[in-house]
Amino acid sequence: MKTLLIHVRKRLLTGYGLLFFAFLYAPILLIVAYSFNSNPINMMVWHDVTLDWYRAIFGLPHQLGDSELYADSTDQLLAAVRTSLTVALTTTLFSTLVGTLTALAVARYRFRLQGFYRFLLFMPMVMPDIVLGIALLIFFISVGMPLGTGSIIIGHCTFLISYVFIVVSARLAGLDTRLEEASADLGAGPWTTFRRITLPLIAPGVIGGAMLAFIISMDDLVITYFISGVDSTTLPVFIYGLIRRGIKPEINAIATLLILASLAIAAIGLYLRNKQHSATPATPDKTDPAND
Amino acid sequence: MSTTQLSSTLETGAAPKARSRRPRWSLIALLGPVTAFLGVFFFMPLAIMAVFSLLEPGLYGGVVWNFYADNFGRILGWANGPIEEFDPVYLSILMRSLRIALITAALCLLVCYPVAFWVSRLPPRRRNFCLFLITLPFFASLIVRLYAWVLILRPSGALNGLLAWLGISDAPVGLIYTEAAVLIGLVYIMAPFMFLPLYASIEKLDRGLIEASYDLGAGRITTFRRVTLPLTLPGIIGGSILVFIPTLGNFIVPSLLGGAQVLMIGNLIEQQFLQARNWPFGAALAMLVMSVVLGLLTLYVRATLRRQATDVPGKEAQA
Amino acid sequence: MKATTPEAPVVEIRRAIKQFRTPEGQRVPALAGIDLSVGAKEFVTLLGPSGCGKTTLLRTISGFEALDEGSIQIQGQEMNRVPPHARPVNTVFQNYALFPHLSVGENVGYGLSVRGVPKRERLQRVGEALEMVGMNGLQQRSPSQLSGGQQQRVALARAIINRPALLLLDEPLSALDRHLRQTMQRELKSLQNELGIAFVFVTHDQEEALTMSDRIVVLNGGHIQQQGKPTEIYDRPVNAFVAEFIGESNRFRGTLEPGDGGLGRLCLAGDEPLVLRRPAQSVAGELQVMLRPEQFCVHPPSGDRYASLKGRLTAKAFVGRDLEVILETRGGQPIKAALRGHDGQTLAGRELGDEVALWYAIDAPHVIAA
Repeated sequence: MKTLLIHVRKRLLTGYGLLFFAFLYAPILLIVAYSFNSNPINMMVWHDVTLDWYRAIFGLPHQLGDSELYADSTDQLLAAVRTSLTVALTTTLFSTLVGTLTALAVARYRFRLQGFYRFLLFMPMVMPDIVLGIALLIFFISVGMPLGTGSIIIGHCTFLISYVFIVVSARLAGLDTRLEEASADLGAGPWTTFRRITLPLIAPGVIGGAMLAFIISMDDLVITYFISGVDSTTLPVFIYGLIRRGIKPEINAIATLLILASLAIAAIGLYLRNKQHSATPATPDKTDPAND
Repeated sequence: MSTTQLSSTLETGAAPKARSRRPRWSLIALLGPVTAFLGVFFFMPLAIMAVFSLLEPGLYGGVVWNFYADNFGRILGWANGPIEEFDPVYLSILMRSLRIALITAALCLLVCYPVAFWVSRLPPRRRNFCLFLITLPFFASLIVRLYAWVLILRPSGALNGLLAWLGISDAPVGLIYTEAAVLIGLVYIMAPFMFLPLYASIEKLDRGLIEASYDLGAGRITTFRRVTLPLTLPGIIGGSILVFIPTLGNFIVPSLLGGAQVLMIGNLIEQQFLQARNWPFGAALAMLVMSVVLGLLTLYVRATLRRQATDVPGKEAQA
Repeated sequence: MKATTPEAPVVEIRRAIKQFRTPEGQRVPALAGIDLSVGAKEFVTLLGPSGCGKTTLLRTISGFEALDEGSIQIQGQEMNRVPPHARPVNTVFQNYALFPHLSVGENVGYGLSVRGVPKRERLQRVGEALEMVGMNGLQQRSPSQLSGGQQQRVALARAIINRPALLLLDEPLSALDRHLRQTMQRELKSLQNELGIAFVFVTHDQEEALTMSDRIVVLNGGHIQQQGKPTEIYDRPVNAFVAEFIGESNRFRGTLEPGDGGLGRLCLAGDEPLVLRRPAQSVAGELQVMLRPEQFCVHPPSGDRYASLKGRLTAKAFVGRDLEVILETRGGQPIKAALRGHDGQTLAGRELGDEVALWYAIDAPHVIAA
C-alpha cells in the first residue's frame, strides 16, 4: 500500500514536470505553427500550410493577406536587423574586451579598490532596465548627443561589460595560478605566459561571455526602447512596435525566424562549452598502469 | 580557525602574494577603460537623473533649474504646487507594482519548486537535458515569447479557441488586459530566474538528512517544514529577489498584456518620458524604483554575509 | 653542528626573513632569519610540518615570493630583484601543474619554445628528456590521459629540459600511493645522479627525507632546527622538536650525576636512575635524554656495556617485522620499544601487567638540550 502511494506520488511529480515543459514550450511552438497557417483572416482557424508570410516579410511576391503594412516595412525590417547586428557585434567586441581586462585586473592583482570594483561591476546588473534606460536618455539629451546606433551601443555596453566580467571571472577563479607560475618558472615572461597559458585557458570563458553579450544585446528591448533614435530601431523594438499596432500573421514568421536564430546561437554556445578544456591541471589519480 | 587559515596561507595560499609583484602601470591600463566608461556612461547618467528628480518640470517639456521637491510629493502626498497635486493614483500604481512583483515571485516559487525537486532526482543524463530545456527559452527573444501570450490570451486567441473546441465555453473569456494576464506573462518570462537558484540549493541538499528526519519519526510535512525548507531557503530567497527586481520596473509585460487597465510603475515612467514629457516626475518615479531595489539588495547581501559568518565554524568542524 | 657543504654552493641564502599578514592583520613570520647554502650536486631536503616555512623558502628560491630581508644568491648572482622567469632554476610543482591545453610533448618543450630554441632541436631534446623519465613516445598524449605517476614523470621532464643549475621539488610525491612513491623516490635519486645537479626537495614525510637526502634541513616556525646527514639527524637530534618529528623517541628528563668509569646516572623522578655514558661536553643540571624504540632489547649480549629499565607491560602490538610494546615505569613514564626476532617472541609470550626489563647499550642514550 505504501509503495503504491510512493509510486503514485512519483508519477504525479513527473506529470507536473512535463506540464511545466509544456508551459515553457507550447507558446513558442504555437507561433511556429501559426507562421505556416494560410488563413489570412483568423489565424486560429487552420487553412493550409503556406510559406507566404515568410515571402511577405522579405517583400517577395505572394498571394495572401494585405501587404499594406509590410509593403514598405520590409525595408524597415531589414534596417532593424542591420541595426541590431551592428549594435550587437560592436557591443560584444567592446564589452568582451573591457570586461575581460577588468576580470584579469581583479583576479590577478592585489589592490585596495578590489572590493569597490566588484561592487562597481555588480551595479549595472541589478539596476532595473527602465531606470538605466531613462537615466541614459536624460544623459544623452543633456550632453547633446544624438540618439542612434551610437547611443544604443553605449547603452548596451554599460551593462554587458558586467556580464562578461562575471563569466570571465568565474573562469579565472577556476584557473590554477600554479599553471601561470609553472610557465614563469620555465622561463616565460609575463606577456608570453599570458598569451600562451592564461589566454588559451580562459578562452572558453571569454567566448562564453561574448556569446552571452551578443544574445542579450540582440534581445534588449527596454533600454534600447528609450535611447534608440527615430532612424535606428533594433529588431526587438521594431517587433514591439508591430505588435502594438496590431496582430498580423507576418509577425509569426518574423518571430519564428528569430527563435531559430537564437536557438542556433545557443546550440553553438553549448557545443563550445562541451568542447572546452578544464582550466585546472589534470587530477592525478593514484594508479600507474606503466608501473603495474 | 585562524591557525588553520594561517597554515594554509603559509603553505598554499601564499600564491596571491606573488601577484603584488606585478607592476602598477599595467593595473592602471587594465582598469582604465572600465573606470572611464562606467564613470561617464553609468554613474553620471544616474547622478543626472537624481538631480532631475529634484528639478521643476518645464511647461512644454524640459526642466527649469529650480529646486523642486514636489515631484516626490506628487507621488507620496505632500504636493502643494500650482500644477502638482497629490494624486493617490500614483501611489496606488506603485502599490500595485509591488504587489504584482511579490505575487509573481510567489507564483514562480510555487511553479518551480516541485519541478526543481523533480529534476534534481532524475538520472544525470536526463537531468542535464532537462536543465538544458529549461534554460533554452531564456535565450529565445523575450518579445517573441510575450507575443505568444498575446496570441493565446486575446479574445480570438488560442485559449478561447481551445475552450470552445472543448465545449466548455462559447462566449470568449476576456483574459487579456487583466492582472491575471500580466501575472501569467511575468511568471512565464521570470520562471528561469527562479528555477536556477532553487535548483542549485535543492541539488546540494543531502538526501540523508531527509531520511534521517523520517528515521527520527518526523512525517512528510514536518520533514519538509523543518528540514527541506530551511535548507533550501537560500535558493528560495535568492530566486525571489532575482524575480522581484526585474518585475518591479517591468513595463513591457503590462503594456502588452495589461493594456491601460493594469498600469505598473514602469508604464508610468515611460509615459512621463515619451508622452507627458514631464521628465523630473519620471526621474522621481525611477529614483523610487531604484531605492526599493537597492534597499532590498542591501538587506539581502547583509543577511547573506551574516549567514556565511555564522556558517564558517560549522564548516570547519565538518572538515 | 654545521654541515659540510662542497665549495662554490649553487644557492646561498643569508638571513632570509619573510612575514605574512593574516586576514586578521597579524604578522606571522614564515622565515625568521634563515641561512642556507646548497652544494652543486647536493640533494637537500627541507623537512617540517605544515606551516613551517619550507614551501615559502622554496618559493623564494624560485622567485614567487620576495624576501622582506636577506639575500639569495644563485651561482654567485644576487637574485633578489630577478623575476622567476629569469632565474636558472626549475620547479616540479605539487600536483604537477601540467598545462591542460598542451600535449605531453608541448608541455615538456614549453621551456625551450619560450626561449626560441628551433623546432628540430626542441623535438630532439623533448625526446631525450622524456627518455630520461621513461616516457618517450607519449608526446602526443594529453596530460589528462595520463596516470598520476606518468604525470609526475612528465612534470619532471619538463622541469629538467632547461638544464637548470638547481631543481626545486615541492612535495612532488604526495599525491602518489605508497608503492609508487617508493619507486619514484629511487628514480628521482638516480635521475639526480645522472643529471649531476642540485635538488632541493620539500616534504613533510620524514621517511622520504631519510631515504633520499644527502642533507636534511629540519624547519619549524620559520627557523632551521637542525641540518645534517640523515643519520646525523636521526641519531643525534639537537632538540626535542627534531627528536619528535623524525622517527619515534622516548625522552627522559632528569639531572645528571657522575658515576664510576666515565658513566653517568640520570636521576628520574620516581624511578631508578638511567645509566649512560657521560657526554663529552660537560653538561650540568636538568637535561633530556633520548632513546629510540629500536634501541631496546630483551636479551642483551653479555658484558657490562648494557643497562636496563623496568616497567609494567601495558600494551603490545605485532606490526609486521617488529613487536611494538609499551611499558610504564613505576614513576609513570611510558617507554615505547620495537623488538625484533627472539626479543619479540619473548615478550609476545608475556601477559599485560607483567614486570619487564628492557636493555639498552649505555652508549645509546643521546643527550639533547633540556
